[in-house]
Amino acid sequence: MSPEREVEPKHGSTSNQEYLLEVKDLKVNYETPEATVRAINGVSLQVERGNIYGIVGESGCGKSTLAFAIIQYLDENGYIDGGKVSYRGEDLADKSRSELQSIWGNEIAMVYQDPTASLNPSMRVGEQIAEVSRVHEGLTWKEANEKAVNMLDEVHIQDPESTADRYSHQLSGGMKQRVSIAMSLMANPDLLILDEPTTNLDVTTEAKILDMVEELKDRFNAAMLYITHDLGVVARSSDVVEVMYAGEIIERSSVKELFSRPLHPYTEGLLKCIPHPEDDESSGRLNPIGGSVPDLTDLPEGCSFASRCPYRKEKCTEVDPGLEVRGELHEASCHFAPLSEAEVTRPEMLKTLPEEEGELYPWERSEGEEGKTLEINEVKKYFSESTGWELSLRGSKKVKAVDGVSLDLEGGQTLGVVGESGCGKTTLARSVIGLEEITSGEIKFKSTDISSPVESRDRSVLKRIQIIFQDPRSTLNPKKTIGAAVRRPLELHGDFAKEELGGVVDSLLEAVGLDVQFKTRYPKQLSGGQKQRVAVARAFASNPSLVLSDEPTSSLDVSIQATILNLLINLQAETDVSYMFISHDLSVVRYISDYIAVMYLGNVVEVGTTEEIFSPPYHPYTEALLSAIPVPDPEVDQKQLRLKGSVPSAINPPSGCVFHTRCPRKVGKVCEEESPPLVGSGDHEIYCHIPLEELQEVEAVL
Amino acid sequence: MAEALENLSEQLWSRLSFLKEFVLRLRKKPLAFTGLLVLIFWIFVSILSPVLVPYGPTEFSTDKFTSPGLDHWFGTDRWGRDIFSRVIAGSRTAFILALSATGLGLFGGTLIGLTAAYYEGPIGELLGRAMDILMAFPALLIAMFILGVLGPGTFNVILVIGLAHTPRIGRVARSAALEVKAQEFVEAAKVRGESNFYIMFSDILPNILDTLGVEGAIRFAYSIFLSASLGFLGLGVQPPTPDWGLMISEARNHLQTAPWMVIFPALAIASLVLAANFLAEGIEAYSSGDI
Repeated sequence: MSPEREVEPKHGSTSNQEYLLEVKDLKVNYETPEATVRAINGVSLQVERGNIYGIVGESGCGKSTLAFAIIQYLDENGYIDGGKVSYRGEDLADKSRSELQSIWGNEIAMVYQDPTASLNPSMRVGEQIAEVSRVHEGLTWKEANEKAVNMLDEVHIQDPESTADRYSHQLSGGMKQRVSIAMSLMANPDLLILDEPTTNLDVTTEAKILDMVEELKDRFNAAMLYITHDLGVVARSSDVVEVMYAGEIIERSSVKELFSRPLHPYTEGLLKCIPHPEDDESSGRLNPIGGSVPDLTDLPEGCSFASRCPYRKEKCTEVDPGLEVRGELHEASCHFAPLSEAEVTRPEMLKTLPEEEGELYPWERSEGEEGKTLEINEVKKYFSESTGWELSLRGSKKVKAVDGVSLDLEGGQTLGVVGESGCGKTTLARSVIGLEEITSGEIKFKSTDISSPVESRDRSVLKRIQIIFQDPRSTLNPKKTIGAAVRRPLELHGDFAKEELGGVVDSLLEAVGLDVQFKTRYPKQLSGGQKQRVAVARAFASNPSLVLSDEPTSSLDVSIQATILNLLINLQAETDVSYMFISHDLSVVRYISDYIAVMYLGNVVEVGTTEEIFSPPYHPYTEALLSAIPVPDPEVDQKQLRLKGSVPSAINPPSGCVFHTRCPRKVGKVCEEESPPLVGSGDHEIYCHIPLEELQEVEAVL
Repeated sequence: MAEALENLSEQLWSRLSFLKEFVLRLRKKPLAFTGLLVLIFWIFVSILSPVLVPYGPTEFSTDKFTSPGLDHWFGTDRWGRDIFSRVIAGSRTAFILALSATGLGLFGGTLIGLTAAYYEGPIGELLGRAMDILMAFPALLIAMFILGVLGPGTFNVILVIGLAHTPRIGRVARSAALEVKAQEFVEAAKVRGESNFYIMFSDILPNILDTLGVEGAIRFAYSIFLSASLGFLGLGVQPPTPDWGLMISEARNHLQTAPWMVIFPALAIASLVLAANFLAEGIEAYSSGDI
């Protein structure tokens, strides 16, 4: 990289008293037809060069609004209701539109969650990046293009010249995000705001982007605001963490201090409700935060967290605590922080059931049936690239979504299936449930063949296999009441007399921790977590033996995720149901699963007990996945192992071992030519050319 | 099957309680609200038309080509018939034609659209293409062609207009249904073992009713227009039935001498067509949550 990249401050050096960015008692409102939403209620923040500020909070806490308020780019119905944002000591509210435009991109740059939306699809990415320099620095086309290629190199894009000539749709998600980061760095900004930049990316890609962000911070000496909901990401990326709740910053501290000694009860709650990668079911139940975020149109008196706080005292509901210094470089907005010694150790998991959920399940435990709950034998599912008429006209390409997978699952056990997007885990689940017709192979449920799609399966089989989907917004029919949704499977399968149905619906709702009053409500009146509970109740209404869960918690906030995971575990204890649990989140899978299958490009590369998967010997892919998990604990020493490139196309998967193109431990030609043999001991299967002894010697990742 | 129907009727009932809320919210859109008022006005006029008319709508008199005045508010035509009475009575013809034709189109279009969306692949593809081909011809052209074969008459006009609407409504229904079909609750229903019939009519149909409502209002307006056009061409309702299109057609030769003969039925058509279109906009805004 050229030496002139060395940073020189654009307006002379900032004096010691003057921060690069200072936000003082900022208030932001949104006007809606119904009421005024108070999205930000008095946030103060100082930002200095060379630091990454992690802004973390659950959905609706105001973290993105804060970013947009800082750059003075709120939605039409949003406005700043008080306080000020000073950049280099100048109030940004006084700036004219054209002055702001020269600040945007040039001095303050922003990277968004969805790179697809922030890149122009009709421009070559190189031109698009170069445009920044032409506009802000007045470079010529040629100079700007050269600079763009250099910048692509800077963000570790292999072969930057040819990438610059491509359009954004020709790039993978991770590459697109790199390109948008390159674009934001073009004008050498002093402040870079990253709004959930890795949320849509796979963990292995996320890990690489996080590495890069950290490296760029040092190189460019910029200040960065890193907005995320993921505590693991914060732990890895930030120097200073700002925890937001209901439009306020409720705790600020260095990253190490925050994770080892959280002062605010909300922070503590957040840390307690996420499964750590070293936790499993035996560590106890997760500890969700009760209640919900206060209504931002009608905020309560006193502390905004009071209604959910386990340590609440009278004073909390009367006086707003405000952010105050409670330790060295540690601020918290709590009257009673730091709490007593007993409370400030590393948050433990709850050892007992938090609520009496799952005890009201209306069925008797099912008696031991013959055979394994699920046997998947050499299952393949190929999709034709074209559909409809064209199929017969062209030689169609086959996408090998699932390419010969064998797994089984015993009663009362949980099989976790992990892998990056496109690895075939969802297709596998959809094949088991019968929503996809398998190309070849065999699926058996309790010794009954269920290889056929759902239309031709017997009702008695259908009711025993259920699924919980990913998206709480589309999982319930918006035109039907909650009661009707839960009642329908009961009616359909006819296990109960008509008079009994009402009572059974009630007990199912109670079993998933919902009030009986929900029966008459419509899905739009429910929160995401509540909808997912209804989905669980609906799945369990037909007394299933096998429930597939396809990322059931991935779109929920962590505190809600905890309640759903607890619920699933309690129901399993109650009913002996087996789960096939699909997720990209290894911590969640570890927490809930007995066995884990790791998938890559339609193949299972490793399967074993949870214990076996998380300790050596590893398949090299598993090893890479584990080292990419964002661990919500900055003290954990995690091995750094990064994969090259991105997942190859499933239309033409690599020969031999499908992982050989990215494998950091590739042996040689044999990996490209022969499919890997089974190594491993007992039920722990690893498909790899590396001998087991060698894999055993690998150092543990976590 | 019975269950699915029962379920659907339940949905329709619960929809009625939304009606009140719909009217309340519609007041935020003055144009759409006016549309609703005009439509309600015409509905009352058409129901009460036998009582409202001062003269028999087909009654001849010697007062030919009388200009509008106290005796004949809208004047008389060349047979001495009272235009006011004929416009009032004509509203009933218009409503019967337009409502039946729209109903027919909604029924056929929804059925075809739902089927085409639910059975993707060859069946859906075939239905989709067939609708596209039908839509390539102007509705009036098809209507004229079929009426030329079948001969004019109220029933045939309804049939023809309904048929002309079917592919258009079908396409709208299909795209709306495809969107709903992709949602997880439809897959949940399949996994539960619901029949195709149940999924189509109890899970998907209720979720496209809003879209169909908008389309229905637009098609209603278009039906009025189309039936008037056919009447004008002499292919629609036959004389001496009071029909707005027919009235304009008869007035054609007397434009200079007796303009009232054409002005009042034309105003009637325009008011009803515009009202229905404004209302359609209102329904759309309501269902998308804008008001």
